[in-house]
Order: sequence, then C-alpha cells, then structure tokens
Amino acid sequence: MNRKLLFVALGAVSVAAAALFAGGGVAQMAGEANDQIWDAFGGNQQAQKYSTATQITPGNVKDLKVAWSIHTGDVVKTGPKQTNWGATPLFVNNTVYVGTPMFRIFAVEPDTGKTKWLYDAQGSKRVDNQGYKNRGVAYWAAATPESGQPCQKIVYLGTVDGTLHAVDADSGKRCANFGNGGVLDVNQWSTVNAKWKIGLLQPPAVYKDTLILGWAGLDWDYKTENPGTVFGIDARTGALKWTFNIIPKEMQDQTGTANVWASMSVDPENGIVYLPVSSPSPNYYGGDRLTEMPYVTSTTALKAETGEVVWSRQLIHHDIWDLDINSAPTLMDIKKDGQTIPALVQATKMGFLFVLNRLTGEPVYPIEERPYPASDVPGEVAAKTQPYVPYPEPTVGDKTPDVFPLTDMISLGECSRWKARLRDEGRYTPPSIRGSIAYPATVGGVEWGGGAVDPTTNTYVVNSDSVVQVYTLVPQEEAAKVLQGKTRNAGYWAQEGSRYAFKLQNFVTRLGDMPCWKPPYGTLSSYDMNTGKLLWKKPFGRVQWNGFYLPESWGSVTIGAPVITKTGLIFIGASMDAHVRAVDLKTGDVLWKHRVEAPAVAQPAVYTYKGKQYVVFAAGGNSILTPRLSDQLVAFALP
Amino acid sequence: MKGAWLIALGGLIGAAVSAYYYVVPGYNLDGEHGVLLVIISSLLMLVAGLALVGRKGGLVAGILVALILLDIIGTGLCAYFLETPVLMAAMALALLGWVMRAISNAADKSVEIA
Repeated sequence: MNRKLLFVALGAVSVAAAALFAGGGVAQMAGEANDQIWDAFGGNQQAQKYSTATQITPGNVKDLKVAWSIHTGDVVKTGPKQTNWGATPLFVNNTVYVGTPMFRIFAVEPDTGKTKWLYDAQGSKRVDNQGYKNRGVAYWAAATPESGQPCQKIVYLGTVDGTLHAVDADSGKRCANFGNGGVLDVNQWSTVNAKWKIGLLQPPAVYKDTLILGWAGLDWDYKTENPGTVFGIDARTGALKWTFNIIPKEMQDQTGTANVWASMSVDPENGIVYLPVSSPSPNYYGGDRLTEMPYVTSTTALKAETGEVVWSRQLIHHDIWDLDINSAPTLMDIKKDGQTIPALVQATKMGFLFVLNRLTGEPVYPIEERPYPASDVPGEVAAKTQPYVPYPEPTVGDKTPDVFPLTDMISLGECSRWKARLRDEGRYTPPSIRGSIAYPATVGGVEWGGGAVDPTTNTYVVNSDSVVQVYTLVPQEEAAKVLQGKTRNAGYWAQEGSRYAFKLQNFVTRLGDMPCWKPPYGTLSSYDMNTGKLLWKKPFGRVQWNGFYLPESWGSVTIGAPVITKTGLIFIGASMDAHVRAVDLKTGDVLWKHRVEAPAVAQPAVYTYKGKQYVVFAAGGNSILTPRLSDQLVAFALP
Repeated sequence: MKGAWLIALGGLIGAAVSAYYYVVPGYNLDGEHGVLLVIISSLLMLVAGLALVGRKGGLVAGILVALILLDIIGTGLCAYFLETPVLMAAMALALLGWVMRAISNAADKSVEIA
C-alpha cells in the first residue's frame, strides 16, 4: 500500500527525471511516465549511472531475489574466439535491449525476461580485430515521430568488423533507410594505414539526431595503424556528418590508433560530446612519435552537431604505458564556493580523477605538472613532466605496493628476487629493456566503466584496481624468435615497424600465478565532488583463485562499474568472484550479494516497470579478469 | 573400527561432492583446480580410511593415522575457502571418525595395560 502511495507521489518527479535523464534524441514514451528508464550505457548520456528508483532501499535490499534469468546462448568459453561480454542492458520503450558478443540484439520483456524479438547481425563469422566482444546497444527515438512509419525508434548494434546495424525498436527489423538496407559500413571511412577493420564494440553516443561513433583497434601490434577517428553520423540514415581526426596528418606515417574505444558522454544542454581518447601506437615505444600530438590521451570536447573542437586537455604526455583515457567522463554540476560549476569527472587508469569545467576544460581542482624519470631506452624520450592531480585523492598510490610477504614466502623469494632485477621508480617509470615495474599499468586504475554520481549531492563513487605489471622492451631480432612471424605470441607483441617489440607480464609467481604485491587488489571509493573530499575507501570484491575465495580485505581486481540509486545504494558486479553486490552509499558496507555465473563486467541497468524496480546484470565475464565466462542476463527485484 | 569407516565415509562424501562441484556449473567451482585438489585429497582419505579398517596398531597404521589427520585438516581448509558447507560437514565427519578411532585405540591400550 505504501509503495503504491509512494509511486503516485513520485509520479511527477519521475516525469521530470525522465525528461532530465532522457538526453540526446531519446524521447520518453507516453504510457511509461512512472517508469525509470535506463537508455544508455552510462544510464543516461551524461554517464551518471544514477537511478531515481526508490523501491529498493538499504533496509530491504537484503530481500532481493532473482526475478528472471536468461541465457542468450552467445558464449564461447575457451580458445582464441572466447567471448567478452561487458554489455549494460538498456530499458526504454517498455523493453530491455541488450547486445551480445556474437552480435545479436535481444529485446526482452522487462518483468519476465521473455524474448520479444531477436535480431542477428550475422557477424559471428566475421570476427576481426577484437574477437567476440560487445558492450551493448544504443537507442534513439525521433523527437517528432512520423505516425505509422517504422524506425521512429531505433536500436543500434556495432560489430567488430566495422558495421553498424540499425533495427526498429518495436519490430526488430532492419531500418531500410539506414546505411545499406539497415547496415552501415563504418569501416569504409577508415582507409589510412588500414591494418585491420575497426571494431564497434562500444555503442555510439546519441545527441538529438546525431550518433557519435568511436571504435576499437589493436595498438600493440604495429607502429603505423588506422589513425584514431570519431564519426558523427545521421541517426536516421547513417550519412556521415563529420569526422574528427585525432592524429595530425603529418604524423600518420609514424603512428596510429589514439582512438576512442570507450563510451562517451554528452551534455545535451550545451550540445557537447566528450571523448576519452586513447594512446597512440605502438603503445610502449614512442621513439618514432616524439612530435607533439595534442589530442591523444586526452579528454576532448566537440560540438556534437559539427565535430568542431570546443576544448581538449591532454592527461598524459607522450604515453608509453598504454594508459588510455578509457571511460566516459561523468557530468555533474558542482557546487563550490557559492557557485555552480558545470563540471565533469574524468576517471583514469592512472587513478587520477580529473575534475574539469566541462565548458572550458579548465581544472576545478588544481592539476600540477610533476617531474618523472627519463627513459634509458635508446631512441625513447619520456616526457619530463606529467599532469598530476593531488586532490581529489587518487584511487591509486604513487609508489608500487611492497612485495607481499606471504606470496614471497610461498614462492621461496621469487617475488623479491624478481623485483630487485626490475627498474622501479614508482608512477611513470618508463618501460625498459631490462624490465620495468608498471604501476599503475595498462589494467589500471579505473577501467572503462568509470564512476557514478548522485547528481543531487554530487557524491561520486568509483571502483579502482591495484595491479602491478612488468613492461619489457625487446629488440625485434630477439622477439622474432618468440613471435614466429605473428604480431602477438606467448606474451610478446610485435609493435611491428618500431625498434622494439614488447613483453607484458603480470607481477605474479610462475607457479600458481599468485600476485607478488600486497593487497588490496581493488577498492571502491566515494567522494564528495563539491569539496573533492574522499568520504570512504574500502577494499572491494574478492578474488576467487583456483576456486578458493580469498579474504574480503584483499579486495579484487574489478572490471565493471557502479550505479547509484536515489535511496543511497550502490549496485556493482565487477569482482573476480562473480558476485553482484549492493553497497551502502554512506558507509561502503556490503548489504547484499548474490552469486552469478560470471563476473558482471559492466554496470547494471536499474529501472522501474509497472511499479517494480529491477536491477539487471549481464554476467558475461572478461578473460582479462578470470577465465569464467557466461551468457547470463539476470534481473533482481524484491519479492 | 567404526572410526575408520567414518573416515572412509567422510572421504567418499567429500570426493562425491567435490566431483559434483567440479562438473556442474552454477556454483562457480566447475573446472577449478582447487576442487580437483579436493577430489584427490578426499579419494586419498577414502583409501586411507579403508586401509585403516581392521588395523589396530603398528607402524603402517600410525603413519596412516597421521596422514589422515593432515588430509582432514587440509581438505577442511580447502572446503572453507571454497565455501562449500557440505564438504566441510564431510570433513567434520571424517574428523569425528579420526577422534573415535583415537579414543578407541587409547581405550584398547588401557585395557591391555590393565
């Protein structure tokens, strides 16, 4: 009874919230005014990952049960073609939409999981550079729909061979006016140094009638590769509106990538799209790309309609660590010193939280330029300084964690002996021929899910990893013995065309892959972004090692992101132990957890349908995290 | 005598349960090396328990008893970290058998001395 009253009272608020969070060209449909939607990878185009749903509270979350669970059938658990499924389902148009790593779209009933329609992009035989990967779908709806016409609401699915499929959201049929009969060959626009087909594993951002599209590539294999581009295309037809070239033309014969492979965010009021721009190729040796390239490893703001640069801020100079800027900035309006600042928070692999004015790119909290060590590799010139954010407190420390005595003892001193042989000068130690400790390394820090914010309080939550890796540059003639004509083999990557190949190792024991560094391996942190103050930081998740659950205080490496609900809950999967959890926003305490079939490596979707709140996880797994993979889509609700 | 049978039963249940976890998905233990280890240690316990049946003393029995205790402790710890209550219960059963056998042996010796 109380719930009914609550929903009546919240009706008006819900309508306003829906309008606020709809963003871009997504229009709230009549008949679902009381439902809280989740219409983008980041919950909304602002990547806030926030739900106004109020049914599930810290008081009753312990009663959450599986409402429905389905298996898509799209999973390959072993071998080179194994699936990596990091999709966040969307809930909009009274339907849950999810893309699969074998390039199918499932449209399912939000309260039962029953399939409404299924679209097959028939991409499973066309796996190119990225293997079987998907992070979901995008949704667009016409602001003024034409009555009786199909494709007034469209779901988009990318494939890893560079095609974008547009499907009618009601029927699941291709939109004939889009591209070539509903399929757009985006790869046609990637013609320079085209070593591979571009991978559209991340759904596009949506602003009014424009889709903004980045792509994924391979940046450890070659020196010169497809240079990073972002495309603005017409949401109805797929016609190219604009192209943003990240790498200057004069550098395109020396490097490549510096693409946008993660999700983007959009400021619908100001018509700006924010790009997290990754590193140029080859990722670990920059001796052939010493010329300044201002847009690489940056957050760059473009006018969404035209692709013109509004501002750009480079967050790493001359990146030789593969510290891609890798998540959509989270947009929020910060209240500071009596002013409201239109801001964004760019979480990074380095563990820095860059808080910037989203209209100008100027820092809200200061960014320092700090000196870092020089490279000792012939031909390489590491940047003398790097941007450093002392406040808000970084999620990752400046020094490599100490060797873990327990592992060192079990391995008879292997860890400490190995560390003594490596170059380790803390953050930004350049890769070297003898081997360098990388911390934070390519795994991060914060991964591609980024953080979440409660926009009513600007409480920001982010999960972060503490992973030590070892970077070794290997002269090409030496690496050739291992690579045997391939561009990657047995932990080596060719960086073909440059002086050095690259060897990546996790800093773990040879026997048993036990981490050589001290836990915690992952944390969850909460900040008040109005002040920049760290509110709490706790080890998060658990490692499951050969089946054994290790102590909670050790935390877990995490891939995936949190979402926040209005009632003060955080929902997050991400942990290696394949559990999903609800965490108290105030304290960081875990209030509920449930085992799923594989780690949920994307943020869940939170929505309300017919008065009932659901939290839906795609428990797909990612081989970076653990070998445990699945095709489970599972929804939780109160009984 | 009963103690040895209980040890064997604990090993049998342990092996059966861990084999189930190793094969059946849904518990997130399928295919895990840690579970394989428990299958082996449980089978060893089963064999050692059976070998102990009918043996009251002697060097072989003494070694078996010591090894079984180590096996129970090790497998029990594994069960704890695998978070498998049924397996922990099986190890508790085996431990009960081990204690019963120890008490029974001590009683037999005290009778002999008397």
